[in-house]
Amino acid sequence: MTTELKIYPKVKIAPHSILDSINTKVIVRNENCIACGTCESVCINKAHTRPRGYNTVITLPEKCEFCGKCVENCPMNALSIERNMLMDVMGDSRWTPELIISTWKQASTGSSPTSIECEVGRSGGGFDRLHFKFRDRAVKKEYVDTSIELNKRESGPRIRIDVPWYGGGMSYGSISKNVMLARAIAAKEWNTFTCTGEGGYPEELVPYKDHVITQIATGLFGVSEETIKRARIVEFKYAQGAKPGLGGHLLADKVTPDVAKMREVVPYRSLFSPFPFHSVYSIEDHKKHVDWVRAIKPELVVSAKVSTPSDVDMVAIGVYYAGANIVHIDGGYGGTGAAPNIAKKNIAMPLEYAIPKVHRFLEHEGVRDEIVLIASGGIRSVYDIAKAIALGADGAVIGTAELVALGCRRCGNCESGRGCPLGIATTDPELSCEIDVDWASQRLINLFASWKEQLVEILRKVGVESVEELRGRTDLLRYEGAKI
Amino acid sequence: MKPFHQPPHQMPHSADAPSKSMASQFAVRRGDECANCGLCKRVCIYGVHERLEEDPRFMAPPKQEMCRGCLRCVMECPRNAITVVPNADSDVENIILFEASTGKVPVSGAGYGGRFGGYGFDGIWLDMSEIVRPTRDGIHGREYISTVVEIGRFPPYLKFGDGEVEKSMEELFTIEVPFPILFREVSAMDSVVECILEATSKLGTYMIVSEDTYDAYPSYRDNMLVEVDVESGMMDEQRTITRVEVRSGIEELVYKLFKNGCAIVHLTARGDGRSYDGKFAGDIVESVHDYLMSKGVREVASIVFSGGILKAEHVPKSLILGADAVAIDKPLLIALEYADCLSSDLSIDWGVQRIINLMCSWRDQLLEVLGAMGMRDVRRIRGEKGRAMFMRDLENEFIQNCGFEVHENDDGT
Ligand code: SF4
Ligand code: SF4
Ligand code: SF4
Ligand code: SF4
Repeated sequence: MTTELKIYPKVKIAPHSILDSINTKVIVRNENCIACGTCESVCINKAHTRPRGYNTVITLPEKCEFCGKCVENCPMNALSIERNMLMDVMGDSRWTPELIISTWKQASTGSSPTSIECEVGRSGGGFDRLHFKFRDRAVKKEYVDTSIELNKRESGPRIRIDVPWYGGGMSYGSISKNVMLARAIAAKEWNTFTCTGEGGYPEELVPYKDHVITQIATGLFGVSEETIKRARIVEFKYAQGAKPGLGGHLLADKVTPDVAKMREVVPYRSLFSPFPFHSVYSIEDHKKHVDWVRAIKPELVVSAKVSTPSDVDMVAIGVYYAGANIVHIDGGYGGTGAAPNIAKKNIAMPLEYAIPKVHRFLEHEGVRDEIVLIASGGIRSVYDIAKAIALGADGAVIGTAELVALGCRRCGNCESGRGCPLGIATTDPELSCEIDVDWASQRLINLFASWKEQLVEILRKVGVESVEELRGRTDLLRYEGAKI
Repeated sequence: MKPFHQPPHQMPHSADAPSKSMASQFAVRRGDECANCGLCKRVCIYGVHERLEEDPRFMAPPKQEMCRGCLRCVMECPRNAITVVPNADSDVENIILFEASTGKVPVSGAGYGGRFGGYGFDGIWLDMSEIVRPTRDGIHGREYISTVVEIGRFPPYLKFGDGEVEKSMEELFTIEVPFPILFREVSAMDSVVECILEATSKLGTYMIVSEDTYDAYPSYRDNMLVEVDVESGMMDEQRTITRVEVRSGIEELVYKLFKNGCAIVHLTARGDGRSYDGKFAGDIVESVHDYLMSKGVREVASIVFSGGILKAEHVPKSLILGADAVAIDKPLLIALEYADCLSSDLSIDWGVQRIINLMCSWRDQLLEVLGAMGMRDVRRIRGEKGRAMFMRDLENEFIQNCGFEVHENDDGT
């Protein structure tokens, strides 16, 4: 295959003075320090330094790798390595502080820190109980293929993406334009996709249109013939995992005049996308939808995003027969937008249960190889992506991980007031300036580079030569015995 | 006779009734290392960090009740002077305080961060209705979703005499509750009890009380049900509810009560939601419901379940397991900040509003769930296990689909 010769986007350090200095541990210097300089000379990472003209030694936390050499050698016992107090307050059981920090580091440097456990979280189920069975006889071949095809039907254009993931729909309004743009740049660099979400198609994205999926959701905000014609892939959002059965919801504060213009609505009024499409009450109606967009642009690849009710397998087969190319199942635990807390955990099944159910069912129906199954909703790392694929998906859609790469710490304040205090999930004109497009896109490129490297490593260690070969290989997974 | 079709129930309006303790979600401290550089003032967009008004050279103590835990100040302070720690074990309480203060549905961004599944209610997911269901009515039709339940004694079949439905039906005791939540009597000061009673009557629901309380508050009798013990033999009297402790093997007992003319059976579990023999009480409610169904008597009387109902999501889940309604007590005390206002400064108006807010919020959340499930009437989810997914089933199916070998232990997953 020709992809072998592909040149991948360059990793460049995309530093962040604050995020880079945060680690799972901290190095503490107490008042016994006599500034002798021993630590400066023993540290191979140059984490201790005496600034010129000062008689004190300071630590540069972002450089420290906690080898402990300075601690051992300090004549005054002035140094110690301690647990970072932030570890107790940041994150949650799905996105552990380790996982957040590791994502930050990957985004800064483009490779994954070996010292941080980021394979699983602590939610006690699903991906967090699945592990790969690594074998000794790893694949020797240099080249491991990580690309997947997004159209497996006979008709329509081939669309191959270089990595088995693409960006999920996050609308302009829920995230800032800068973040959208950064996602699109990274998607183009990695030859994959990002998605507009349901908030219109900002002009700035047009240069990246070959890598932007146009989403058509129930509110039809900002959807026009033009935005459909622009796209190679159109995604119908029937439901979303974070609030299955509830439609979309953008709180009034975030509907700034700019957002309102894009969506053709009145500013500062809460916006609801209804659930469901009021024109779709059956799978035949869904077919009408598919025909409708294909009438506008015949060579479209169509994706249907659905959530995970108990009959998700039936929904998936219906989506197939209606002529869609991609069925995208969105489990409940992900999502970036505002959702009632009661809907996040309690409605529809977790993604991990849904993937094998749909995969097996499509296999039994004999259509598995004509439709692409994409999983999303709670995918945090490349390990999750690989596990989702081993459970039976073709690829995955990510969202939160990209925001974390830009500094999100999952405090959950995105929906209220001015939005995210870090300028990620906000449209507040002042706050959105916190995110610089070049810096942000480089961070996403770095994250993807790190993921790709790890994915190749995983594939080699489980002994398969391409990511397509991994699909449905549950025999390569170990499921930790029932435990709470 | 009551009209066959009831107009949708009007809830009293929710209104702001702020918490007194200003229970802050986070404890924010600024240590002595602080150099008063003012950076934290700049980075915190919620206004937690401000300079001292009387002497702007110094920082004022943080206004921690405004902190949203974004950790920006902690990370950016050049002297590492700030610590932000979530106030422990207050998750459930924080949610109730929010609901009681505002009457709103708690909403947040950034997805779900909790445990994957778990024990009891945590191992149940409600089903939703995807594109292909015909009976869907969108969330905008929620004013048409009914949360009214009827509980009491119902005739097993209609009896006709002279072409009329026979009179004896009138003697059967039924009450209509606007949403499937009753209150339990709490052992607290009189003012607290009065507060809850007043809210009960405003909301149109019922409080389950002892005979003493029934006598002590004659003006609220319309909204009371007197709790009697199984042994007392008074169970077929009007306005009584028969208390049965939840433990394994009570199916036959409840069946007898149903047979012998009891109107409402109150299945009470321990405060942690477990039965008196340590199991998940919901499982026993489920098996009681199934047993009554198999005996063909489920419809003649009603089941109210209490014990461990602390979140709005526990209500629909209890109904799905087979209860007609639930009863709560602890959330009421939390809403009234009972621990914090032991003194007599409980204002009745404030307290009543807090409880109204809590119930408005819970009812709205019930509506969200019913909307997502494609249900237009809460009575239709009673015992509808097909509209829920249980971790035990999903787990088995998952393991089978994937061909995993799992060494089970009986932890309940
Ligand atoms: S080795 Fe110890 S005493 Fe010497 S400069 Fe480092 S911390 Fe201070
Ligand atoms: S407010 Fe910002 S940092 Fe917090 S969870 Fe939302 S995107 Fe992440
Ligand atoms: S940033 Fe730190 S040092 Fe500066 S004023 Fe705030 S607490 Fe003090
Ligand atoms: S954690 Fe965030 S919200 Fe809280 S005080 Fe610090 S900057 Fe403000």
